[in-house]
Amino acid sequence: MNDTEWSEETAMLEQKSNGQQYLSFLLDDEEFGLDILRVQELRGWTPVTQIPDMPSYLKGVLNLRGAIIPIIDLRERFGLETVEYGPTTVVIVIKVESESGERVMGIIVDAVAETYTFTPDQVQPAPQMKGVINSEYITGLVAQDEKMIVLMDVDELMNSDELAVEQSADTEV
Amino acid sequence: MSIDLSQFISTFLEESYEGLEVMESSLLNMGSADEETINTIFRAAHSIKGGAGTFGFTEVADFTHIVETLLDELRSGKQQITSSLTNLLLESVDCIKMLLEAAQDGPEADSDMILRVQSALETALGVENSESDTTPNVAQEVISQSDESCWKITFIPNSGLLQSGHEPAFMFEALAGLGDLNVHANTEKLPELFKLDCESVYLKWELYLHSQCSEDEIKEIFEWVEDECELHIERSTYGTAQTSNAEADSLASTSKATPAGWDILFTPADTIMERGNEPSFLLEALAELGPIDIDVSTANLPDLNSLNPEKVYLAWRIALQSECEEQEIREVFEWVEDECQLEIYPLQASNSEQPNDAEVKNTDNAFTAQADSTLDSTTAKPVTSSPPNQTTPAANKVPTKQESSPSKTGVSAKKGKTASESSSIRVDTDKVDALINRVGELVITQAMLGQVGDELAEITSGTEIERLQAGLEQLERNTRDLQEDVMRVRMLPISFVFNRFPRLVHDVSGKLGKKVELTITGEQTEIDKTVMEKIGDPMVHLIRNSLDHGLETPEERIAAGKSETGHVELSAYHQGGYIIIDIIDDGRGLNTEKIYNKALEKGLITADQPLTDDEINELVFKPGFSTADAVSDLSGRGVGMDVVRRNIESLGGHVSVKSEPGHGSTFSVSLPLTLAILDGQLIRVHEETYIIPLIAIVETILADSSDISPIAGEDKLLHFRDEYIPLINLRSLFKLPPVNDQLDSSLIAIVESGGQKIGLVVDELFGQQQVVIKSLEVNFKRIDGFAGATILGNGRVALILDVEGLIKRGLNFETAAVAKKRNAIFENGNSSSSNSSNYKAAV
Repeated sequence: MNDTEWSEETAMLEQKSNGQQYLSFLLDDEEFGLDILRVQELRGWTPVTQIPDMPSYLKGVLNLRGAIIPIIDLRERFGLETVEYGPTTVVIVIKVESESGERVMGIIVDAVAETYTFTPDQVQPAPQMKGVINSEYITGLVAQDEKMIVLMDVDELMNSDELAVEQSADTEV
Repeated sequence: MSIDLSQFISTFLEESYEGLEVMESSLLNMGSADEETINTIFRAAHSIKGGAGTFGFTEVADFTHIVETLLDELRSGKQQITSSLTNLLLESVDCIKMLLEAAQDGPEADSDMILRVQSALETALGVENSESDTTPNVAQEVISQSDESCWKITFIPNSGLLQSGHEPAFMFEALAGLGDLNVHANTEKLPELFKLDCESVYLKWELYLHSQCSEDEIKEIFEWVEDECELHIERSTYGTAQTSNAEADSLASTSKATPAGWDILFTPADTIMERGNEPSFLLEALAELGPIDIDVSTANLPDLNSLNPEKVYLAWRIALQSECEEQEIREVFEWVEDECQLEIYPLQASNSEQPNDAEVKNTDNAFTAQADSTLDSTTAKPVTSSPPNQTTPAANKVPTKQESSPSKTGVSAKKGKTASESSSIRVDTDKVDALINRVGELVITQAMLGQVGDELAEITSGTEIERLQAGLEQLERNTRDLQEDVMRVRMLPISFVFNRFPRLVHDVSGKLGKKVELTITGEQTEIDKTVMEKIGDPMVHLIRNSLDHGLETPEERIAAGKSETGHVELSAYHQGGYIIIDIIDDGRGLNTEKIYNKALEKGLITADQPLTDDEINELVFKPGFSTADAVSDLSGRGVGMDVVRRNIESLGGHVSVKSEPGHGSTFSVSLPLTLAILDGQLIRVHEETYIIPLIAIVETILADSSDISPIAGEDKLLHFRDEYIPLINLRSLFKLPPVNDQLDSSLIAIVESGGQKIGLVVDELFGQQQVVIKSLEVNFKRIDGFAGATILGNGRVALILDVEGLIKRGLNFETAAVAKKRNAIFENGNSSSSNSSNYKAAV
């Protein structure tokens, strides 16, 4: 971190009372933020088990201490150019609320950037966007140090069609 | 009650259901009628009653109480066990089950049936009760079934009540605050004026309270005088009677029988007065029930000189003209039960009919929901030969004055529990599953550590490494043992499923008019709880099937030179990681010819298909095959055999049939021991490892490309062992890049599900391994063609193939049809020309 760290910390502390903390990550040089309370852990990239005949952004499933979780490449999900996974490639393990309860999933991002605290009045409503990053998945935008951070709604994103939990009556075991 | 009991209710219900099962199975074993069996049944009933009382399921408690009373008589040898009594008790078990279900927000209990069984029970009790023993509050509880809104309170204060500062009138006012109150004072005890002590109470009261209040609320009012009075609170069916002296009248009006009376022989122990009991009070209480005629016997009266003024030498014979129940009379004598000889006979011997007839006759009565309390008096048969020195065992059972209050029954329920609950604890299955998961992870961690240890040993050496490896080996052993132990926690003896079958056989054989003997072996064989829960219904169907279609009627059996009684054997045993359940009957066997014709008719087979008898018999498992029409002319019920097969296969099991005409048939069900673990064949397709459940694999072969014939596009058929089997190339099914070089041979795993065989083309076969099944749905979703996933020793996830799903997903219907056609043609040695035209037609 740089020498502005201290002042930033104080600012964060001041804002903590009414602000919400976000973890930001990078995707093709864009910065995105997600509610830090949804983040379970960060992992480095490890090979996953592919599931046949699935959309390409669904990389496969991973053994997370006995739980089997799906891993989604967010670049591919948003139709961005794919890159080799490298040492900075991070899997953010997030908790997603869905109709059938809480699910744990991993999203592959280029790198993790910062944690921020934003107050509600800092967050601007998302403009109507067309394209891969549908505005449905976006809770708002925040301008930070001349940058624009897109705040994402993980529940909307992860429950969208292809990943939706099928309600099936017969469950295994 | 201030403690929240609701959390215990589910435990109570669970225990009750188990108790009912125990009762049922013991009842069916009662032929031997040994004491322990009856005791077991009694204990089960007692626990249910106690628990039901505690949780306020009064209907259950009341009903069970009657059952318990009857059982008590059986236990004490007062009644002999007859088959009709056993049937009655079995019906009672059903009733209790219904009542419990109703109490559990289930469907409404069939009140007609309950009333009928209840009255039958009372009849059965009544037969013996005339002897001397009953529990005093049966009558009250009988009444309580009918009218919810009226309480009958009998309040008999001690004469010294006023001296302790209590005023009955205040209590009545308080009662009136609860609802509409009707007070009737009984002045019979009022002495002559000059003997009257103005500080004593001579009156007693009967109060009819129309109120929705609870018994506790009433009791609360009398709380302070509890020790100074006799108090009976009961739900009254006579609540509609506005004048309270109308009790006897109303009884008469609801009864369809002629007025009856009672002959009561009351011989108190000579010490009865020392306990503060006064015979004359009892007689006065009796007089309340109806006009009485008293004869005093002075036969035992000693000389004046030797007479002890504190002893009672008299005996009384009381003729009571009343429609009341015997119970009501006994109630009067409740407190002196063990200090006297009491014999009660109906005055009128007008009821010569058998109790069973009475039961039928009185069904109408019972339906009026009001008069069931009169049944006893109309059907009770005098037992004149009762021994004079008969003591009363029930006395110690009801030792206190108040009716069994919830707290008291609660205590007794606890006592019953400790007897039966010595060696097991009740644990939520979630906790067990969590434990199993945790151990599964431990196994994986251990495997990883082992790998690291081996790798280390390869690059370095030294004592540390050796110690490490020794430790790792020990860890491996311990982990494996731990895993096995934990898995066993979920295992229960299959007797939990088998236990219901004696009853089923009993009932069904009764209905069919067949004589059946059921033999059960291997009921201690253990099986996973989840498997067990799901196997019940298919088993019921198979057994019914054996009874209905398999076994002949006694006449037919005799004609066929067999013993009149048919035998059904149910046996369970372990075989190679599976539990096998055989259902063997010695009936007529499957009618192979009829099945064949039926299958032809339904188009399941073609006429030119040569089939062995076994193959034909297997056709009964085909969908659309009605067992009823095929095997016998008896009507079938419910699901067909295809559903049975589907259910069993969905558990990873298999069902088959063997039949010998004239000698019976055997249905064999094989099931995996657990659903949490699976024996799998590890295979490789492209870069990933997959697992095929071993039970689905028929064979794995290295097929020569000359055995594989393409039919259309990528679809291929494998010609193997005189059979054409459709092939599914997993690479193409999974949309993976195809193998680069054209191989001369392919590795094929031939699998079968639902009677359909297919060959899966795989890249490589690895070893076989037990794997822990993990759901994909927890964090993701169900994927067609995969039954779940597991974690391999290296920590990687491997997907488990679901053969049925793969067939659905990958098998081209037309390809299958071609294979079938070819099979038929092949087996008939036909030329291949018609084969290709058939194919064109299919495309």
